[in-house]
Amino acid sequence: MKLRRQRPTWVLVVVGVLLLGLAMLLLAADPAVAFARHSLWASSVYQLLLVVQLMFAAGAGLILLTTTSRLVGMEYSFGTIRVILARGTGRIQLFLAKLASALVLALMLLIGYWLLVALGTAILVLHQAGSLTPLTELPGVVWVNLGQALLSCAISAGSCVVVGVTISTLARSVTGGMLVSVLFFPIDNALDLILIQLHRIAVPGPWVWVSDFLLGPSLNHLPTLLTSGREVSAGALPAPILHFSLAATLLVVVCWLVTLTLLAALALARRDVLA
Amino acid sequence: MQTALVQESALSFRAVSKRFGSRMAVDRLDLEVGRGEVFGFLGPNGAGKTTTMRMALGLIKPTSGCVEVLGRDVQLEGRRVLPHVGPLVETPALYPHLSGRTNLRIFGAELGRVSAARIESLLELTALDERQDDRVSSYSLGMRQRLGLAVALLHDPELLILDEPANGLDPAGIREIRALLRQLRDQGKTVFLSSHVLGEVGRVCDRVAILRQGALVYSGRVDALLSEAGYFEVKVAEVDSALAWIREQAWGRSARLDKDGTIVSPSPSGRGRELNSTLSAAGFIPDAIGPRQRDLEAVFLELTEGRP
Ligand SMILES: Nc1ncnc2c1ncn2[C@@H]1O[C@H](COP(=O)(O)OP(=O)(O)OP(=O)(O)O)[C@@H](O)[C@H]1O
Ligand SMILES: [Mg+2]
Repeated sequence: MKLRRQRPTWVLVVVGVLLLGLAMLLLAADPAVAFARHSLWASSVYQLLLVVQLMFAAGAGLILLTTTSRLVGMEYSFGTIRVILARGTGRIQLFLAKLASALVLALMLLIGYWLLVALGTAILVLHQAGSLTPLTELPGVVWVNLGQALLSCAISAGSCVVVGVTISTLARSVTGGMLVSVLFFPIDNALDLILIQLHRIAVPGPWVWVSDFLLGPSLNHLPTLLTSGREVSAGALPAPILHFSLAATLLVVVCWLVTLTLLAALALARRDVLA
Repeated sequence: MQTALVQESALSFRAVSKRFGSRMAVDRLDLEVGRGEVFGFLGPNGAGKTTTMRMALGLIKPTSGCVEVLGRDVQLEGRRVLPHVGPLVETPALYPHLSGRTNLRIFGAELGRVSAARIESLLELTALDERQDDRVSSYSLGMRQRLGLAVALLHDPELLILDEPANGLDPAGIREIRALLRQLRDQGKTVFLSSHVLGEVGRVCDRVAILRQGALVYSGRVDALLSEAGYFEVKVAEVDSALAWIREQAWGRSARLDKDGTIVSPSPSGRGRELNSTLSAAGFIPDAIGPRQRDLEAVFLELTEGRP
């Protein structure tokens, strides 16, 4: 589509693949991930999963946020939104079309990423154990957890898409949209870290609750909740302080996404287009 | 002041105003553009032309009043009528990293498919066929303007709303645009185009409207704007005594001297020949008498620069 011929799109993809390859190499050297020693297979997989998931959260998050905000922002920056709207495309229709193509993008990224991970893991196992049998002998619960991890990746990716599309619709430019949406998660994670520190030194106050209503930390905590405590997501990323239940955390995420979507759609529908 | 027959109107503004903060960009504009007309929309920089056109395209919402496009309120039914409108607003908006042809394909796809043959013929029409596969970022201003026009024409619209289509074009390009506009009129299309140069559009437009600081100062035929009805230009040897004599006559009190030494005078009957014979009888034999023609640019400047 319109993004396909833009250089940044391809640069991002290539850098992403290179980083993933590098991570796989590092993991291969990690003694904790040793498929040769029979007893450690399952824990090796979890170790792998942890790294892979963190990478997805950071890497894919960044790619999706920047790409979707370019997808939307470029129409404003090139002024092409006025041509599209002036020829009778409804504003909500345009917004939904953008959201849909961004979601397709996220899906492609998700599938591509996990295929690469699967490939990398297979190579790793082959290299260390000489055959793929260690994988086939994994206990069933590992596969269930893998599915849950995948689900949480999908939720994160979807959230990134919604954040990217809505914020750039509100910002009405490539640079503004990209800047704000890339800063969105660092900011709410940083806020969470501050709240956690305050909580630790026991400063009382209802604002500790705020931590549980932040989007980023909720998403960070989702894998742990989904796998009901399996160490798929260690404390590497800031999590909510009070630990809502899975349902409540999902509700928080959904509320964020719906609110952002409504806000952006409303803004697009009502504001003058001066691009 | 509206002289032309306005049948069914293609575009009508009804008391349309737009306020940006405390500035009135467009102030209670009333205007009708009939179907099949080529209508010029004139005004100096900042007069409110672009703002008006954006309102007609549903891009900005009037502070008050309403705009009807092809008979329907564009704010309410824009999605129904706008597909029949070809817009070109300010500098053409294009995807700079894509080729001219791909741009046409993408814009075409927004409103259902456009055949490859149509794209081909538009590229030819706008003389871009040789550069169609180059990135738009490598195009000159005039070439972008042409491509913008091609985008506006993509779906063979009923009504074209063109904001300064001649912007950045060379003289040959301006001629081509004029020819294109005539061709469109012959096909029965309506064209609403803006410009800040009256001379540029005066020759193709049936009617014009002139805007100053958001308010309409003239709307009507170009020739009516130029001829000062009932006045004649008289060249005569004895300018001062002739003028004095005319002013003494009952019909001639409003006669005056123009800058270049011609007398601008009414006629006793409203026709040139009586003025000629009366003056001759009085001993002032005119060298030439003709209907008063005002200079296009002078009229425009007078209308757009004068005090409100
Ligand atoms: N987004 C905006 N915010 C505030 N004021 C605006 C905005 N857009 C236009 N204006 C003001 O509205 C007035 C009309 O502007 P407009 O662009 O319609 O003029 P124009 O006739 O198209 O001029 P030009 O010949 O320079 O293109 C100007 O005074 C301008 O400053
Ligand atoms: Mg303008």
